[in-house]
Amino acid sequence: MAERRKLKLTEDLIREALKVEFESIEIPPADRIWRRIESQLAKPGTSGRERTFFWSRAAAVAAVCLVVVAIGGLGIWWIMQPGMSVADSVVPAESEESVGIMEASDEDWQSFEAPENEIADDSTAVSPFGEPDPDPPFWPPELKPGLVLQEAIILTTAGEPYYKGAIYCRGDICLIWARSEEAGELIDRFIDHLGGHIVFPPCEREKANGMVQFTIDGRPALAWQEDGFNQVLVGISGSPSLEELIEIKEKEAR
Amino acid sequence: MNEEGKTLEQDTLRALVNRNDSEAQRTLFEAYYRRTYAAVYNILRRREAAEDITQDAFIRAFRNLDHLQDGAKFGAWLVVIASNLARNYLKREKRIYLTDDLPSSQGNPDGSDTEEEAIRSLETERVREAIRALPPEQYQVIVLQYYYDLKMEEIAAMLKIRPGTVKSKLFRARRRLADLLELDEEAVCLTDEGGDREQWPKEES
Repeated sequence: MAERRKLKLTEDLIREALKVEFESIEIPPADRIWRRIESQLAKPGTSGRERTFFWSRAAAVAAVCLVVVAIGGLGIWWIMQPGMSVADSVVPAESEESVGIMEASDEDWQSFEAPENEIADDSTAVSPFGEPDPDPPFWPPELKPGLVLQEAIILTTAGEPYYKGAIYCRGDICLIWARSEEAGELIDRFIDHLGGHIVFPPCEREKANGMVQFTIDGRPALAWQEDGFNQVLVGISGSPSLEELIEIKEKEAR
Repeated sequence: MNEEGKTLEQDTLRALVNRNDSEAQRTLFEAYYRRTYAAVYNILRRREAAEDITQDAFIRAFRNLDHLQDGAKFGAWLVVIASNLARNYLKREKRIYLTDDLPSSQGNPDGSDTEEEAIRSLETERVREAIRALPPEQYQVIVLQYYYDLKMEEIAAMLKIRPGTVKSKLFRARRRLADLLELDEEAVCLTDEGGDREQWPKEES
């Protein structure tokens, strides 16, 4: 039955799935868990950063200790046998390593904020759509009356071509004007990559009059090629109209 | 999150901050246990470990309440703590145990679903399974964005990463969901309405 209709991954569907996921679960908060929390909280002077105690892990460590002691005992017994010298015996490396797991390692524990390995916080990243461009090309200070240059950015995502762009705003209406840095990229590929940089996949593409009109997150966007270089105007907040984008393109982006 | 939920959080959090109120803590525990446990379980797939981690997340949250700036974000903050603990646990364990799915109520038990509702329910279940299969870091941002309705900047602040990184994680998560659901590119276009979209044109030759 469901196969007859093609599935669309809509935001509503994701929300609905998560709502079902989190709100239909039939695991009631158990009293015993609350009592454990309460007793932990009642302990004075404990910091919030001690490790969780796992009974299963403790049992595993105890089992390893037993094995190590047994192997060690066997080794000593072997050495003590007539005709054997200490030089003849080798303590298995595995035993030493196994003993090592008894020691709690600080590296195991990370703070509850779990900072990402690959990223450091960067307060200079003003726009969620890209990084500030330290060496921007010329961008007109104003595209239309009131539509003023806010900042020059680099739209970048790891492993994909990057584009230089500028954010223009008039009140709550903001748009990005971006250009490819290298000639020859297919315009559809350019639009795909742009969608990657701006998070939302480009939709509703329509080619007309040497331009590709499409939407990103429901907002209008316009891409075209000039001398082999791709350019795009895309609304990122408020409601710039497609007509306004075409007007800007005709006037400014020559 | 509904308004009632927000009021509960703010009132209860105020009580907690003003005095070490065990009753208020218990109210929050009961209100947030299920969804926090569900988030942790989805990362670990181990019931016992999920229980331990969820318990630990509550302890850390209650002990660090003064770090929470907006009481209305308690649920999201708690799920970040819990999912980070779960991710750290996975890194330490470096293995995943598969267990049975958690018991949950699905569909309409009296069988009164219309055909449309039944189709929607099946679609929801497919998306739910795909979300469960996301890598933990992608699962985390999807939950914060779509369940807790946090803005990109808020997610970035909670996870202590840059907004651009949140953006790329979200994008990859959506792409991964589309892959898991075996959707074509056109079906990945996200809209609030989910209306019909035209096919993407083929690449220019």
